[in-house]
Amino acid sequence: MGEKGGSPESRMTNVSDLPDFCTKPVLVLGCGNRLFGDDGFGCEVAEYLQTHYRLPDDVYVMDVGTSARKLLFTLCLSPERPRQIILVDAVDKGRMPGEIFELSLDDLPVEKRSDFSLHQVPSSNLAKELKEAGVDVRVIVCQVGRVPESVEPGLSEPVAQAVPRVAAEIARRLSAVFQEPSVQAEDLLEAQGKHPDSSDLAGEEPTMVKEKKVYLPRWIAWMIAVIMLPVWGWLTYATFGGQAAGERPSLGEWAVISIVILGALVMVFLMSYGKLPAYIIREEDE
Amino acid sequence: MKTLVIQPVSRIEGHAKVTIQLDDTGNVADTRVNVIELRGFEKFCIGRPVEEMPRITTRICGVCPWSHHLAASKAADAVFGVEPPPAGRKLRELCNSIAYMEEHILHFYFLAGADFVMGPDADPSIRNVIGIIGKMPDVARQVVRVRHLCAKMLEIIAGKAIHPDASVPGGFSKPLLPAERDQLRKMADEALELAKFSIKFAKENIFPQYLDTVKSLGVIETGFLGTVTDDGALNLYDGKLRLMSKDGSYVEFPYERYTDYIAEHIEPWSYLKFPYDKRAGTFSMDLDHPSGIYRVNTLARINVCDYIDTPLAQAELEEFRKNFGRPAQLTMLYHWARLIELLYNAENVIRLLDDPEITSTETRKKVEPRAARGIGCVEAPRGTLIHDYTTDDNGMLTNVNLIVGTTHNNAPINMSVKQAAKSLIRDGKYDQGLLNRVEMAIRAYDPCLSCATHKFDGTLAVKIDIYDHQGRLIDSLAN
Repeated sequence: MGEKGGSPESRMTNVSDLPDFCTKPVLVLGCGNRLFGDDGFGCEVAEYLQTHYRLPDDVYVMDVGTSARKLLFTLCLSPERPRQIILVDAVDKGRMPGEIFELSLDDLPVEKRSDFSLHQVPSSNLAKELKEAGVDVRVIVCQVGRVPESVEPGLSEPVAQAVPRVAAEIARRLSAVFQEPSVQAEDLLEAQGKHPDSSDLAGEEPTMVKEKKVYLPRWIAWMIAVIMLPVWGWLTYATFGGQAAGERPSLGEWAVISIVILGALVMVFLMSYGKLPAYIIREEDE
Repeated sequence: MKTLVIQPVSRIEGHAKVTIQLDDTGNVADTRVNVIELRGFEKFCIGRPVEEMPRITTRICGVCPWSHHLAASKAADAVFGVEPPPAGRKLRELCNSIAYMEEHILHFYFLAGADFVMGPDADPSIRNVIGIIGKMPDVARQVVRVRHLCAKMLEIIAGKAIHPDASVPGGFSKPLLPAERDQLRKMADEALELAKFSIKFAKENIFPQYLDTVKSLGVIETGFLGTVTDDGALNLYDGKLRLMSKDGSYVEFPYERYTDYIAEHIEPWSYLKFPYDKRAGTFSMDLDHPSGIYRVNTLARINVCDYIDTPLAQAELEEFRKNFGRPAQLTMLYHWARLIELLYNAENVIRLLDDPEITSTETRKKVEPRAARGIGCVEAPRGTLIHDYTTDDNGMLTNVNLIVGTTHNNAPINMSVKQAAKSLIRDGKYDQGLLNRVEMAIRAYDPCLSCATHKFDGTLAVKIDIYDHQGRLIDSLAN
């Protein structure tokens, strides 16, 4: 830069002039807008961590609201960065409301890099840039239940219940980061035990369970319907229709077979239309 | 004017939508830029104590929380009928100027800088943060440092930079200690150096290179609205509103009387209203015969003020006026005007810190609830921001109305996009560059389209739909 005054070294940033969020080894950012229902999830988690846990000095927890981009941008440019950044956010990925899972940055689409205004610079790009620069960036998200179209603060029940669970999960991870015996990690878990609100976690290992629900494609339901309904129709005709009494299925037989066929059909439809999972894959995150 | 709040396009829709309508010869007949407002905020505030507003409104927008924080504080002052003590007022103005510096540096070097530093046709993949650093490492280092200093300065003065709560009805909650002032003063000197460098650098290296773009892209002729002091100097925290016509004549009025001078037009296709100059009588976005259209934001403020009361910025203003006249109309000059404002703010921060009154411990007056209407207005980085509150006897809100900078610019953004589209689509022919250029025209206004948005997985920012003369969708461009 063409101005006069010291060598580049002498103008290098003095660490004490950096904001805290650049210099702490671990940064936890709660993202979201509290004005819009479940979108405020990340903010609530940040607040929960601040009020229910004794945080080590090396951990900085911030409710960043809708300023996440600005902060990530600053971090991208910062000469000093946290070792690990945990972003907590709300997403709509069509899962069960309140379900917690981790998003992989690799799975996120790379959106256009230069945008309209900072409002639209997707945070994912900045997070990826940070990751490429060697920061361990983790994204923990909660499936939203309700995000109203007009201003209406307050989390829905399942999402509110997820708040202490995620806080406990973050505490668990932080305790893994600070392994030295002195450590804050113990404080964290201890503090967690002391708080009355954490009773619901008492017997519960705060591991993160990844649950995937698998549904059937819709065509299967219709295909089975096309096969089964004529069979049932024929059976019904045979039972009540014109055949001689001796050759008819009895009413009892008809009822049992009807229940089996129609019941199976209803289940297949529920599985195809996202009401009933065909099977569930559970993975416990170690 | 009965309106409106903010504009979360992306939160629900995922993009700002631009519709281009072609005529039967394949040329542009009409364009529409569609933005959605933040619904329900007014209803949400009603029944709350007015003193909560400075805190709640910072939640509206993660990009310029300070502007909302200060406009809400001023409106609450007016409701309570108090004038903050001088130190309280100055601390607020100080925070405003620091927040401006952070914003303007960011906008110039990163957001718009991508257009200019890398060139508008550069591969989007290298127009990222690290791409800019790679191209100008020394500059980047200093930009980074000064942005950090700004964040640090706000932390020192107000406790925190995000979701600030230091400004309260009646003044400022925390006096500035002399030791803190000395610490800030050193940081402010460094910020001024960067501001001086930035405008010099842009005038030598960037603007000449893109002069054609500056002169042709998104050019429209309009009036301007901005805030000036009683003797006509630029001010971003307080003053009276000056509404200038495109011939340079103007009216002035206290911001409390904004409804006497600004009316609003409604278009069936847009949630966001179109404020216009009431004196014009009619509203028209016709490119050749616009009526009632005015703009806000940097260029508007630089145009409406008679002078700037800090020496370096004043010298830049004189040079700017010599080159482009007054009022300057070229849309891309918003960037130039932004750098003049950056310099002004850097000088203003030093001036305020040097003022012995800034460390006075009397920063706040006591307030008592009463039934009243109070209007607060500041210049936000993106334009004139008005908060208008009414309370009952207990100080509970009964009416809330916010008008944000981008709303004032709704009509001009639409016109600039139309102008850009007209010059880029000829006889039905256009290329992918259309998208970049249309965006660039919008970006010059630095619109605040999605305050409530933060979608992590990055939704679409802009989508252009092109329709033929029979109304059939013939093409969609998106980024």
